[in-house]
Amino acid sequence: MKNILLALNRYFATVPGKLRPHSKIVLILALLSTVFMGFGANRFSLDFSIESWFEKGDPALEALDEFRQQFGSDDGLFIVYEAKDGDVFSNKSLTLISQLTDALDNAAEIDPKISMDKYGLTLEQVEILGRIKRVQSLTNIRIQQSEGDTLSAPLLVPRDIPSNQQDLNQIKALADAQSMLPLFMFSKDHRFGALSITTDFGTIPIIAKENQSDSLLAEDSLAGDFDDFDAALDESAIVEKVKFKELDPSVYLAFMPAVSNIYKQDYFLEQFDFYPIGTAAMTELAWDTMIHAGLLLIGMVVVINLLLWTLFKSASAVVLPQLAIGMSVLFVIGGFGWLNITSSTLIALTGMLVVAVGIADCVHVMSSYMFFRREGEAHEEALSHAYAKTGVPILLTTITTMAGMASLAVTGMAQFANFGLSSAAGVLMAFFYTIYLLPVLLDYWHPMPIAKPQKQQSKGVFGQIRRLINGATHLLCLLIKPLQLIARKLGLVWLLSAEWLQPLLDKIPAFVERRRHTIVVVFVGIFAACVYGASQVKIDSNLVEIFSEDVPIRAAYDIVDEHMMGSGNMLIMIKMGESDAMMDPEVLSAMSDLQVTLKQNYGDYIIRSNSLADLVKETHAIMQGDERYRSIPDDSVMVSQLLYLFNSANAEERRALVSDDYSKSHISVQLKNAGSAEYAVFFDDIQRDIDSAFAVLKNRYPEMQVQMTGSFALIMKMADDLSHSQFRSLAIAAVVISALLMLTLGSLQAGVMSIIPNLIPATLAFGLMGLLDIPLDTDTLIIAPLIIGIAVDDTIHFISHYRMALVATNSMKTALIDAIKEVGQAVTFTTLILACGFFMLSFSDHLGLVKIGTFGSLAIFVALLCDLLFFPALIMIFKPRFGEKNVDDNLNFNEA
Amino acid sequence: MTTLYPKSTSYFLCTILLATFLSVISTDIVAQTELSAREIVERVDESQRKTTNSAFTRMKLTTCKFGIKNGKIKCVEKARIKLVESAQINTGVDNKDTKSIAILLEPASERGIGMLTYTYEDSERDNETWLYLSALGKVKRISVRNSDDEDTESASLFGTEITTEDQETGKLDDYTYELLEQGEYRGRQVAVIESRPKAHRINKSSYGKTRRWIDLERFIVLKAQMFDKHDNPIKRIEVGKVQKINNIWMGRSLTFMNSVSQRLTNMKLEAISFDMDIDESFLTQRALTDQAFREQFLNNLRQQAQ
Repeated sequence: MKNILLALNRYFATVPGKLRPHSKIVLILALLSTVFMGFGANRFSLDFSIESWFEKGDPALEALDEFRQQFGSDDGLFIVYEAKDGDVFSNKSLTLISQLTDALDNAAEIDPKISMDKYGLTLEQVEILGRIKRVQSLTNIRIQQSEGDTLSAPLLVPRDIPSNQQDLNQIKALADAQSMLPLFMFSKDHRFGALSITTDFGTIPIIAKENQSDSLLAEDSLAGDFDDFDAALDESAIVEKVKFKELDPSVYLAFMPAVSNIYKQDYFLEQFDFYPIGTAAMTELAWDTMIHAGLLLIGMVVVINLLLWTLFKSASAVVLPQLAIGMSVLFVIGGFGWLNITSSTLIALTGMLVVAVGIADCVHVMSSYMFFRREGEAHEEALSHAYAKTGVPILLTTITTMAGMASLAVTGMAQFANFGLSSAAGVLMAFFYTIYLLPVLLDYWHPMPIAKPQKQQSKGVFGQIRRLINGATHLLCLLIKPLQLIARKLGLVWLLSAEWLQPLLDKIPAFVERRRHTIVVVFVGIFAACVYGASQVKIDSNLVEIFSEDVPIRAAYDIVDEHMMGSGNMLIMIKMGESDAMMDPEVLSAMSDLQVTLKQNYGDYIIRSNSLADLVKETHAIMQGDERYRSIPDDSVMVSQLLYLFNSANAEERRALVSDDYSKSHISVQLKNAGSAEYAVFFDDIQRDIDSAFAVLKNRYPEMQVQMTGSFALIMKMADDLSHSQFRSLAIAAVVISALLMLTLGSLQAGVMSIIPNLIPATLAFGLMGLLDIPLDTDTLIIAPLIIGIAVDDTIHFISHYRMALVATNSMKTALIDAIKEVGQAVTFTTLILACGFFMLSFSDHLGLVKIGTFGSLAIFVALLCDLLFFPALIMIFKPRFGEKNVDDNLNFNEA
Repeated sequence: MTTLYPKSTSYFLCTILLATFLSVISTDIVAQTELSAREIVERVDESQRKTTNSAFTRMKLTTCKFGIKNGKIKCVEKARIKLVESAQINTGVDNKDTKSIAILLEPASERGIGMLTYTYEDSERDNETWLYLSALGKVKRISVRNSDDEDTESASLFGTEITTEDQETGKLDDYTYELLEQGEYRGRQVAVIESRPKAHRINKSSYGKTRRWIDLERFIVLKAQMFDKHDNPIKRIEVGKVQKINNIWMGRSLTFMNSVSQRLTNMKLEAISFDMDIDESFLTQRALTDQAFREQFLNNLRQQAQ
């Protein structure tokens, strides 16, 4: 292994020199491949849907698909409003809500120009409002009444909204007396009301069109004998499985602003505060968060640029690392485009990783290059030396990071596999850039220019351009000068220029030697605390609590949970495996009993539930004209006749509750919002209650299946899946990285010794979260390998450099001083740059990003302390020889 | 977020339209190929509106999930069969009011369910419907104001794939019409006409457009294809067994195929007679509740129909 490493060392040292004669070819190849990948990037596409997170054929997804196939889409938009006069039944409230209902329901029906002028909508927004299928509000909802022998379904609120209080009170009393309206359309204290908007999103079928090119008068494949229809059963006939258009969540992004433009008219806002909830509102919020995160990323780039400039005082040190990032990201995106692979929003994380790795690689090379230049070496020599020192560690960190990211592929979740592989590819691209393109670019433009003899002013066009550039640079410098002056006065220049760094690094070996035992005890203590903390960490994803408290949607969810019917929804799918089973009084009774049990046992979570059983009970009471009959009749013929009315309802509405052959139905349960950890326990308990409620029917309906489903359950399952698979992939990554370290360091002792400093930053975030009782959400979990990858990179640089120096000098003392002085500078630079960059994310509204920013930058900073203090202390105590013989193990730095 | 709340009584109304379902009948036998799309549709609609006085029908509604085998449509599950008898007379000034009754004979669990409906030409007067559920032995009057019609959504006929919108007559001004093609189809001279709901109508319609293959000689629809608002062909109606009864052309076997649910309903007119002698006293609540009284009248009508 040692020989391989030395050979690699020699190889990397020769790369700049070998490339120099061919620099033009290298540049042309780089340019051509960039153009090629640029075209590929044009073909790149993103998939935002929840479904894309699951493998095709995943049982959870299939259950939801089956549910949607059977009962339709389970998401919609719910706009809760709070009446500023405290009464949603006041004349003013009702009049305005009636106007709003009409506006939303009819926006697409009237001349688009009218809606555009009245509400400031664009034509595209008017068109998307046409996808609203139904708007339900207090002012257009009907109630069922049974007076004597007469059944009627009048509007709850008459079209001519009464103005006298007595009539309004009557409406209020009537509304309160309904079994289905309170909590759904208004809160019990009448302060809050709701508009329920149903769209056709996710319910548009994909059906092949016949006769597309032929004449309409030509017969199509279905033509047959329709004179005498034969109803004989033939189970071997093939039923076409109708698929539904996958919903692109970007539709919501056009839809939400269109809806909010209408309700945000001054006259509505004077009377109401609006709180939209549901998938559309959540998607819009997620998009806003992404834009916010994008701005923070720009901030991160600005901070990184600023630090690169102050640390290296060279434009090339600012531009070249960013070129590395840009090209690596472009190559990944272009590669995806050419390979026709659809990516998810996780590509943003790939970008973040490439930023970190690309910068780290370039900073290591340039820092080392400058170190040798300052030692007095010429450009070519310094470059060759720099690559000799950094080439192998960069290769090692590339391999370990790639291995860590590729281990995500074993999660089995398609998007994670994509994310892992794309990140691995991005890291590899950054490696190629650093090793094969950067030396060529550094030849043309490097941080410490060689002082050239004053040339004669060139003439012609080039001379003009040169003079123009010089003039512009002088002007820029003039503008920057006052800023530099202020910065100097404030001491910022001293701080950022790292003038203090080398003197500080010089003092480290002696300092560590004096306190080596204390340092080891402190770090081992931190490690033990982190391990304990990590064992206590609670994995919990809360759909709402990932946003900070000042984000309006949190207020909306709190209101809906506290005053209305709850913001979560769970569906219990009931498949009896036999036609007409849903008309069996025993089946309906089991459903009804289960609903009672659920409400009794889980009153803290469940606000209310609804099912076919409720409908039968309601119709029974109405038809008998007596509330005492609010029950499931014992006779199946009577049930069947009560359902006769419902059967004749709008087929779509009936299908939303019970299948055509009455073998399948569902119970819809409204829940309060809570985290996935709480719900995981709750779902387990509920499944037991479901099983026991339906146990009596098992003999009669042997093929019966009763299970939970719905988007909510799917998201919770995703959170659960993610936790498990992510832990698995993290474990694999840890094993792979450790094995690689042992192999490259050439000894078990050295391997173990280098893994421990790596494990501290890796476990720090989890440990702190466990100790501080901060739940670990799925978003943070996704990014964990990324943070770990970045944090361990510097440690690997440090350790491998030490080992190479040990091989070269056979002296532990020289090797350690060498490592601290040379790599210490580079790891401090990368730590400063990346830790400050990541810290920008802690200003996000999205608490997931805040955690990434805070814990990520902390982990990167702790990794630096591990490199500079903990690892040298371990070496001083255990004196590992890394497989070398005849090593001078004198480590006394305090000798004069 | 789903809700179960039944939003209106629209489904009470659907069976009332049963008696007017003969929507594809026509008495006109003049071939007019020079007519515009709108004129052709007007001719069909005009014929449909000539709902004949004193009609008695017995129809069999067969519904099943369908599949295709050897290019033929087959039921892949046991079909649900409903047998309905209905009678209707015109009354009032100028015979513009109607009284009708519909009784379910099958399936056994729904036997005896009946609907009695009086409709009035006078828009000030609300139509009246009485529903009888035999298992409960109770008659309920269903009150639906005429003014509620405008927000009544399309309902299903007895839980089949036939909707009230499929049977709608009139309201021609709510649509635009275009003649797409004209020529021979299934051995008949046919015009293919596409209708699209106008802006004010589109929200209430389940369809974005409908194509009808209209026999230009008999003014009867031979086939119809309904599309959703995204241009997907979601439903298809095939008319079979076209016969001339009492000088009226009609299809006696109509198949409604829903391409989304993959379910079909075949409506077969087992018996149909016009100009029957129907006593107005039969079309009262007694016919719903008194089985012997009802059977006596129905037997009489069955014999006349034969």
